[in-house]
Amino acid sequence: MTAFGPFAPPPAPEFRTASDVYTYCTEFAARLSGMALEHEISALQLQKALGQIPDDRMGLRSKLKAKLVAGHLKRAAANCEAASMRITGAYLAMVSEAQQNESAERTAKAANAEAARAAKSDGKMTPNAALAAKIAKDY
Amino acid sequence: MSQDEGNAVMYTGAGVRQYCSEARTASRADAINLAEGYRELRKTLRPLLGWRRSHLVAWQLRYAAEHAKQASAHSGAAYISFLKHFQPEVFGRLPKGRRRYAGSRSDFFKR
Repeated sequence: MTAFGPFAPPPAPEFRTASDVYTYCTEFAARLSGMALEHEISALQLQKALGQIPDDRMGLRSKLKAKLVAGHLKRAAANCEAASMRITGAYLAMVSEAQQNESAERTAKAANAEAARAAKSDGKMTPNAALAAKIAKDY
Repeated sequence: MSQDEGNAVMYTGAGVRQYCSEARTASRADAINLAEGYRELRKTLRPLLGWRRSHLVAWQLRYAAEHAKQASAHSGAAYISFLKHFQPEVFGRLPKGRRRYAGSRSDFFKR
């Protein structure tokens, strides 16, 4: 039995489809959240256990030292939690970019169609069609 | 260690050492994996989204790798701090380069 864990092994970073990214991000975020929880609990246990050691100042010195030791584990827990948040943020950013990409493609397609219609009807571009052609060119 | 002793891992020096060592190893592996994930995701997204937008997505993984690295460092520092405050005879045998926070703060508890 291990003292830390057990946790699921980290997923391999291979991204062929969007679902690969989703799986990687969710599995890794779950793993890091679990590690953060383990660190938090262990920090509390360690602080309590070390704080019970008697000394010449009614145990106050032990309690202060125990707090210093447990502080490192608490900071490790905060870092694991922050990493988990960042990984979730990466997936959300990818979804957001994909939506923007799709929206831009749709706009460009509509603008192209409008420009083609205007060109076919009389060869003269209306202001709207000219704007649509400009948008299509930009995208 | 048996199943029943799982909760008692933090009550011995060896248990603290094992916990901190395993936590450090796991966080370090995570940091390496996340840094590789950043590079792979960037490589995958660059042809689809372009340089800037692929960076906007993938840089979060790079930050996550940095956080995992920090978690690894703090796991190691917890054990060193434990040695310093509760097993000073072992801490005194450590080479100076491995004594973290061994500067002016090291004599805080010496009166």
